[in-house]
Amino acid sequence: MKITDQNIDNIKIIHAADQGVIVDFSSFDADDAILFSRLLAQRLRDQGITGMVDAIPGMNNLLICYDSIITSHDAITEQALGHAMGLDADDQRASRLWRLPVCYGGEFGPDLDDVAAQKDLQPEDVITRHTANELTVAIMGFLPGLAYMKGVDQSLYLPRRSSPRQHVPALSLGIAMDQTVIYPLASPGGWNLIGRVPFQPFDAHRDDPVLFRAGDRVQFYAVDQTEFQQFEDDLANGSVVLTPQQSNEAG
Amino acid sequence: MRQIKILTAGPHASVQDFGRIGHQALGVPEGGALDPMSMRLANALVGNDPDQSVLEVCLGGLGFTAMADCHIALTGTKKGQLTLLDDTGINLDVPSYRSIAVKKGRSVRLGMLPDSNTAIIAISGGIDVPRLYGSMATSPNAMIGGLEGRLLRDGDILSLGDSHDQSDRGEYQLTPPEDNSDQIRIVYGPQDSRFTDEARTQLISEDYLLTPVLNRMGMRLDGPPLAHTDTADIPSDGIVKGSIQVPGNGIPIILLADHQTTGGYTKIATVISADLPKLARMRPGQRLRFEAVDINTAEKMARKQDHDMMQAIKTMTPAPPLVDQAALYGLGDTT
Repeated sequence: MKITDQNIDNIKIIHAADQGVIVDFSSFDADDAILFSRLLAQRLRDQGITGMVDAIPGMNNLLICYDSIITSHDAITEQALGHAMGLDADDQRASRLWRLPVCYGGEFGPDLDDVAAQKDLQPEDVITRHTANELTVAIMGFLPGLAYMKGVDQSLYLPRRSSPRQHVPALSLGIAMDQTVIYPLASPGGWNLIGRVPFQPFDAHRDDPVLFRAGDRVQFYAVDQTEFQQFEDDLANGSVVLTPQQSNEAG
Repeated sequence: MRQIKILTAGPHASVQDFGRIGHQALGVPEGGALDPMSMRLANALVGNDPDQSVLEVCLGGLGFTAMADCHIALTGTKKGQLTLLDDTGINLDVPSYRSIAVKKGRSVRLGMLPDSNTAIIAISGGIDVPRLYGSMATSPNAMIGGLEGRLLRDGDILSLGDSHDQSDRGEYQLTPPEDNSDQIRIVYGPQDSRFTDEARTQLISEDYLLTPVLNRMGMRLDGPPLAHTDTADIPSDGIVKGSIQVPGNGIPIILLADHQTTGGYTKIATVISADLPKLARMRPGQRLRFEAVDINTAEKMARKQDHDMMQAIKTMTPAPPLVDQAALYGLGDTT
């Protein structure tokens, strides 16, 4: 899918007072909408738009934050639409693939049994299905380093918990809808917690504090508590370094 | 090394600057002073650059000892004042919007704020803590910035940045731009079409109170619930400061500087940027009335506010000496 003269009018422009111009792609196919938001953000950053202070891709739109002392919603809208022309959802950059461990169930994944029961599965089936699919980071948001990964096996689809937890421990892995998140920090949260990871998606002391980028692909594998501990230790002493594989294959 | 020592941190004090601009696509909140205008004024008074790190004090109750000569200034409150403590027990009250030279070893105290929820104290040289993504601002919920990503505590020691030779800098005062109305201007949207017509009208015709559920992430309001036409959920998208988010229970929450970068709730309206500093100064229990304006007005107001700030700084004047109580009450060798 490409943005052309024929379909550019399907883009809606919405406003958030004098602070944000929202380029809305919701009338496009959901997968294309995510890609368009991400690609437009990249283009605008590369161009260095005067007065633009941030560009935040959402699930089906791009929020462009601007400084209304320097520029205006008219100027930002015009430039955004100008740069949206010609965007091509097939024109993705090389995406990275992460293979990462998760310790499922037990105290690390207090909702695993419940998820299994709700979906009429055994806990082991939930683990098998969750590790089977390659997930794709759709957007980053909510907390520093938190990735919304889409592509969870359809047989595991569940809504968020009806009453969110006040305290979700850091590094918990949760599922809801077609998505998976890892909480980089302790936080309130409503996702179904099925495991925990032995690595930091956000570490202020790392050269690049944020591990994931939108567009990254992620495949999880199951580890037990001993292996979990070992992985944590290896990371701490430097014998294991988190690195993704590069791939040109579109996610 | 130039430092200050926090004696009493009070309920909610933190190191702030203009925030981490441009990293929300990684989930990193912008953060920064809730009232950036007061921060600019305070920095101007002590001879700092506009974006140097300051102390943001919500509710008040901050005391510290200067471990080096410095100039300090309090802004964001009209009635609040600093008290300069002397080891002889003689106190000197220092009004807001004026700077004062503080000698090494003297302590300064800010009581509970009588008229504002958020005040700024600037210190010459600025606060010096490690930068993350270019900013020192504390976002306590994201546990980044400031001292160990947290609010200040009793006993904390904060380094100050290098100050140009301050010894002969005078004391200054300025008049902040006037704004006494409780009107908060909004622009409808981004998702106002997801609300009933009644809800849209209610927002500007009914009174909404600020509740004590208030922190750097947002302020919950109390007032008639706002009805959605459908669900309160939308596909997650980016958020700006001042977004009025309405979850399923219909109770609006105004999102502030430390808001999460994306959210999945409908936003009925957005507070214009020029009214965000005023909002930060409003107190729990205070009534606020929303007035709808268009985007052109919002942009014009932002430029006017910026202009008024520059004027206030330009018209800064040397401050007359404060009454020295030691001299006044005869504790010295005069009178």
